[in-house]
Amino acid sequence: MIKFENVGKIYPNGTEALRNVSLEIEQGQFIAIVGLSGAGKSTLIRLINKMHDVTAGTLTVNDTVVDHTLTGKELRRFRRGIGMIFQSFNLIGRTTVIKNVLAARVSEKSFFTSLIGWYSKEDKIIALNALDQVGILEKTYGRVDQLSGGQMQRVALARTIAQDPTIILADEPVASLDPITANQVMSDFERINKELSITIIANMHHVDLALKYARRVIGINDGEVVFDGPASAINNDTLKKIYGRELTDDDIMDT
Amino acid sequence: MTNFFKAVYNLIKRTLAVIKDIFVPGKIIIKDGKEVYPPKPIGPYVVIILIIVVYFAAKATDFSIPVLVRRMLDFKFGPFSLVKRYFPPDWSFWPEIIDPLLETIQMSFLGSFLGAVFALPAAFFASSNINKNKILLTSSRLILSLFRTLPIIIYASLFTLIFGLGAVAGTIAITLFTFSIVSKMLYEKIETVDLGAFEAIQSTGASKGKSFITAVLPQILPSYYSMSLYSFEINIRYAAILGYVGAGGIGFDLDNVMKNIRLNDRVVVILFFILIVVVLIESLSRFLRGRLG
Ligand SMILES: Nc1ncnc2c1ncn2[C@@H]1O[C@H](COP(=O)(O)OP(=O)(O)O)[C@@H](O)[C@H]1O
Ligand SMILES: [Mg+2]
Repeated sequence: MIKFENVGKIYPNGTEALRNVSLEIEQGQFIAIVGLSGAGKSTLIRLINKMHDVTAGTLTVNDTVVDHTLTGKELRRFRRGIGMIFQSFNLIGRTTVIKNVLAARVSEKSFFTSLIGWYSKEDKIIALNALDQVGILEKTYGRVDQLSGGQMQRVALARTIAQDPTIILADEPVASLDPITANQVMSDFERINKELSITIIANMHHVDLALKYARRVIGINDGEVVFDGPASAINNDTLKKIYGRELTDDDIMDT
Repeated sequence: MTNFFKAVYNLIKRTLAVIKDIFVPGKIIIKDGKEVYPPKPIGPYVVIILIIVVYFAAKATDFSIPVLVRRMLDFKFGPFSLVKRYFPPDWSFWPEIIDPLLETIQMSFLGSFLGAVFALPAAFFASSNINKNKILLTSSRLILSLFRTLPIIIYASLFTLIFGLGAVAGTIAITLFTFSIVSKMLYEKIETVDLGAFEAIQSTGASKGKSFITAVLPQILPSYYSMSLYSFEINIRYAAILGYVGAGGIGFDLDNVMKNIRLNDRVVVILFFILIVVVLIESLSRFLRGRLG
């Protein structure tokens, strides 16, 4: 379970990105976070795996209090249980698909074996299974730079599955994909959420996709949670509250 | 006639305007009266300072064309006198330089290799986008720039004091030199790399070091090979002169046959072999760099 209690975030430069956020997220939920660009969605997600530090309130993730005392080895062990997906895929270029997925295993390996790039048979089986799960097993030994955007995001998803996390954080995972591919990738998320009961928290700029795949939607406006409820409870009034204006074409992927 | 003066006057006026614009560009007014102020340029001032410095440098070193010409044509001590002393070369001497020549190549290869290996971890600590610890960053950069201050020949003579005369001192000097330039080139390269993958691997719970090896190294590897080979290419030339200070290699023999009038007919033989080796190694290195880069 993930628990935000009056969490706030002020960046070192003084920007207040989040204010008084309180949330409870049970294991296995599929959540979409929606809001304007700059509302604080990425910040919220990055607090969960301590890519950024909480500056007010208390954040608890699977019984671990995520505060300034969580550092070094303990932080790294904590992060192993949380996968992360990025808008720009963040794959390792100039190398193969399998190497990218195996990279999720380096946290468990010795410095020396990661230096020579050696992976155990078990690691390879984990990686291949993950690639199979997202349906791109046939690309295993191809170069990542030669894949399409949708395939790249699937490799990233396979990498995250190979990490065997309980939570996946996805920061605008489909924002740079075309509508059809975006839907395919979102269905992958949906399936993984159901089959492996991994909690999925995805930042989505596009409201229609969020409503289509997530069961719970959290709306953020200017650093504050202004909506938290089932996707079915979203209507024009709630959207106006979240976006502070009428929706534009930009806010809808249109599929 | 007045037309002519007018034209000259206009030309001068326009030239002055251009000069003024180069040194102190004025504001630009665009549509609806908005004003844009260009930043103060420094380029033109740098050029002027450069001209002044070159002038004084030439003056201080007595760089004068007539003196140069006189020296060139001086048959007793000028270049032509060398021809008389160096030719015909004594080619039969060549077997004696194979050993020092091989030693030169070994020094330069080993030194380049070791220097390049040590440069990798150093560059990790000296990259501002990877190393967020200000103290560690500043101190590692300071040490690297200190290493770069002295020329290789001074390191070589210092190391002969510590390790004695011979190729060990030369090899260590080349190691240090390679280390100092490759680490600098490498951290500048690392600072241009996209860190998305590095961040992603860190988010899986891998340490910074392992994330660097896994996500950044594959991206910089071609440049790293290229830099290392390039310094090997440069080092073979340095290795050829380190013998002048007793740090091993063919330089010792070259110095010897140049100073000793009776051995002067060997100079060209040594130079010829150095030339062959340098050209061979350069082509090999260029071939490999083309393949790896
Ligand atoms: N590293 C940072 N340092 C300072 N300010 C930041 C940083 N990251 C984000 N911000 C600011 O915090 C606010 C929220 O940003 P973000 O969480 O990225 O919003 P979103 O993901 O919803 O677009 C914005 O005003 C943004 O400029
Ligand atoms: Mg964002």
